[in-house]
Amino acid sequence: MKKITYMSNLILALLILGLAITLISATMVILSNTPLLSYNSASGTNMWIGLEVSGSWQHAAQRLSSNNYNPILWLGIMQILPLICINCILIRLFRLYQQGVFFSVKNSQCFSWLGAILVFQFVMVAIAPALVFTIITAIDGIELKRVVSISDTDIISLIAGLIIFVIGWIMKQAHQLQQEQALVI
Amino acid sequence: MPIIIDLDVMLAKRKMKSSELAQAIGITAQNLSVLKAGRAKAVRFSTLNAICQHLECQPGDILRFVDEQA
Repeated sequence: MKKITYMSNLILALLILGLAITLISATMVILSNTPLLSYNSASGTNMWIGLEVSGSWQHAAQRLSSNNYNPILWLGIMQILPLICINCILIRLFRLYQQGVFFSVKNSQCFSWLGAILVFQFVMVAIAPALVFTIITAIDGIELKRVVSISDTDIISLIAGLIIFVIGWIMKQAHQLQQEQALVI
Repeated sequence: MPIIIDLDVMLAKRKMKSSELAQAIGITAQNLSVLKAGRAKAVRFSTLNAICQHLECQPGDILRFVDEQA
């Protein structure tokens, strides 16, 4: 129990730090289009904290850049939304673990939401660039070739999402069994 | 639930308190209260055996089936 509380505290601190960095980076990009930290020294040290479009959206980001659109504003912000949600859910889950609550309905809800967001993220990865390009075409009349790009990591995260979703159901079932077991005299 | 627990009646017949029975059969007073109130999902044979032994009765004296559709 002490180990769980200790590790939960550590993970909570890391999650909160990660969330804070993500939120500050996003705010800085939206307000001034500058990274949170950018440090280069003569010895070759390079430190950078900010937002960038990664994964299967990189090609779409390059196309946006070549057409003078800011890829961070059009895609980067959208890309971090599921990450922020996942971070918030994990904070909630580890706060429950910290309090010694392991198999309650709230825990199973966290797992279900986590799985649902990972599945939603896969759908978003698939359709968002095409949707953004359609919006740009509709607004500015610039014809951008719409491409649906899915990488192996997206498929892995989809499978992980489905597995976590099922774990959420199993935990809910386990909670019901636990409640019934308490009523066996 | 169509199964009615008549533990109250049997306790009254034997002039025994719930807490005494709970202590005698080794379950908590809360659990016996759950059983008496008919909120229990299941009764273990070991519990039923202990109740019958201490109240000197048959399972049928404690459990009764009432057909709710009738």
